[in-house]
Amino acid sequence: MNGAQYIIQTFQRHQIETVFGYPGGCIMPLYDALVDAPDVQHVLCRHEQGCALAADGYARASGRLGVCIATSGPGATNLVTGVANAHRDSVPMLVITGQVPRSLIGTDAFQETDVLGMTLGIVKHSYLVTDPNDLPHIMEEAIALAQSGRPGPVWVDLPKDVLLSPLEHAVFPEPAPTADISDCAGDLATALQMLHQARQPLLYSGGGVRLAHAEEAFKRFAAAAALPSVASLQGLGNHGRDDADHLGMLGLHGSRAANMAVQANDLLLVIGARMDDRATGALDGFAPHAKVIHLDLDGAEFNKLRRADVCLRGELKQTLDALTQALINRPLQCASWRQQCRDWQNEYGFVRIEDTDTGDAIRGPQFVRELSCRAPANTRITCDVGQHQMWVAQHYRFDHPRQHLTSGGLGTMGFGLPAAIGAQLACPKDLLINISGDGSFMMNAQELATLVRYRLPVKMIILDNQCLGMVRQQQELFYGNRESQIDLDDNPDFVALTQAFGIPARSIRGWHEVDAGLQSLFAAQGPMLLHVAIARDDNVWPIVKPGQSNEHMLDADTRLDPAPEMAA
Amino acid sequence: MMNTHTLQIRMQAEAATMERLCQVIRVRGFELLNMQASQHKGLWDINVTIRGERPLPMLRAQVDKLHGVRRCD
Repeated sequence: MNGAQYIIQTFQRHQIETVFGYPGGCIMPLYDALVDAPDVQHVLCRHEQGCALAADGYARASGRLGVCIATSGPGATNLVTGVANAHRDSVPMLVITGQVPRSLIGTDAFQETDVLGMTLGIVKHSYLVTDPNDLPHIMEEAIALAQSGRPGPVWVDLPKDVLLSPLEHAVFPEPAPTADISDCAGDLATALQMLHQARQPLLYSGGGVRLAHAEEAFKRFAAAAALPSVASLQGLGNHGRDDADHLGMLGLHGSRAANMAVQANDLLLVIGARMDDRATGALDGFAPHAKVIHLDLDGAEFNKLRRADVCLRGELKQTLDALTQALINRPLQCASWRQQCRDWQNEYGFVRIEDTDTGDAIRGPQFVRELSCRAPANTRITCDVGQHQMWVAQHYRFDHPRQHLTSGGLGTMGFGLPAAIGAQLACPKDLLINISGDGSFMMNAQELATLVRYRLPVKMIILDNQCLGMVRQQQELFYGNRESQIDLDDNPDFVALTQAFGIPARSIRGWHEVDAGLQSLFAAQGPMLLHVAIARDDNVWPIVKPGQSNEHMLDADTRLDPAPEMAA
Repeated sequence: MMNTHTLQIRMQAEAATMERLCQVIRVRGFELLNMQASQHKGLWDINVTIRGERPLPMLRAQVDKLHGVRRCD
């Protein structure tokens, strides 16, 4: 057995059934071994970035390991954005790349790049395999590392001659037991005491709930705690669709209700969230009256940006179950605060959309809300990055965090389509809808060919405003309306482009066409594109000016026009 | 305010061990002033002197997360 065959057998042993890749010179031995492994489905994307982002979507939707493969040099460099995307959102991923033979490393050989050095900052860990006999323990460790603790991408760079070398001992090591790093038993009592003493406690959850596979434990806890709550972008869906105490997303484009609760609360219970700058705004004005209890598996998140009064480190499921039981035995008393937050939600939340008369024009928020009302329960949404992404976060009501697949930390335009491909392969019975902007869609439009090749029934929506809307919006608000390089009015005909790949497509331009457009989308048996023309000058409201605290939310009535100063 | 700190780190010797450590020190906001390192039986013993404005525990927490770190004092 050679190194390449060993890797394929490792996939089989770990029930890795689907991998995303693109062949080339130095990885060819692995592709040769794949010929003899029909039980490993290899998905040939049309660009290595598509491979990495599809593996990411596969992992986010399923909770399983995503695997992507590429050759050395440009194959590896093209993976980088997708791997960085997985790193920033802690997605479990195994990255396999070919490398030039060991004797040629460091000689500037054809398609040689120092992948190990280049990717240090975007991986959880990485390996350059220099001895074929190290493969067994490296592969086992890489797969375990990617999925354990705080997950992330692990990169294995394989010189071509290592892939071709026979292994002297083709053993399959047993996985090492996962260490229990829980370190919070003594602080649970303190946390509970603080919760009972607080008059205005607020729950703030993030993507850590999904990463910990703690979705059900979290919902039980939220029901027992009966607190007002907010969520980060990655935490949307944690509370389900029908939690009356949930105020939606906080932060830069959060709801006024959510940000008002954050500013007013006296105890912030942070669960699996890292308090990033898009959520907190200026730190010195974030939750200014609050003590903080922080639950996370990753100890490096504690006190990183905001000092916590109590840190509960450990597996979220166990910690949440312990807190749930204690709160069932002794419920919290904060009825007037709950009512206050519900009033804010009714007045300032995303429950209702402003009744601006825009005639027949299709507006992004209304369209997303209509889609949310009509999409079946088994729908999963992937997004790209920009205004459409925020409208989805604000107005689509998610029932589960794995329903919402979005690039949070890195903010990768072009994420949506390949992520939908991966998610559809992971969840073949679900309805996958990718919502894109016209800028983002063009970043990975080549993956339309992948949809066709694998007959994936992914539905695509482009909210087309003929410009880079989020950049245009910030130029309008914070740069004196000096538009710079945001026009995309020479976009291709998206319907014709999609049809050229053999995928049905239609375009709608007025609200009176929305009903028929959505009906045709839901009725399509295979993939379909719905191109939606929206106004160029719609903004995402509210917005917090960069560098300011979340209490300084701007909306259409309070916009600065023209901007008195440049953004930080 | 800039503060100077010394860290003693023991790490498993792997490809790019030292680069990983230096990268974390830089990215997390510290300047490397001095570094002494020796390898013995597959382990690096590294003493670094660093300077930075951010709290040292934040850097230590990030160094601790590197694969193969046995000790960071």
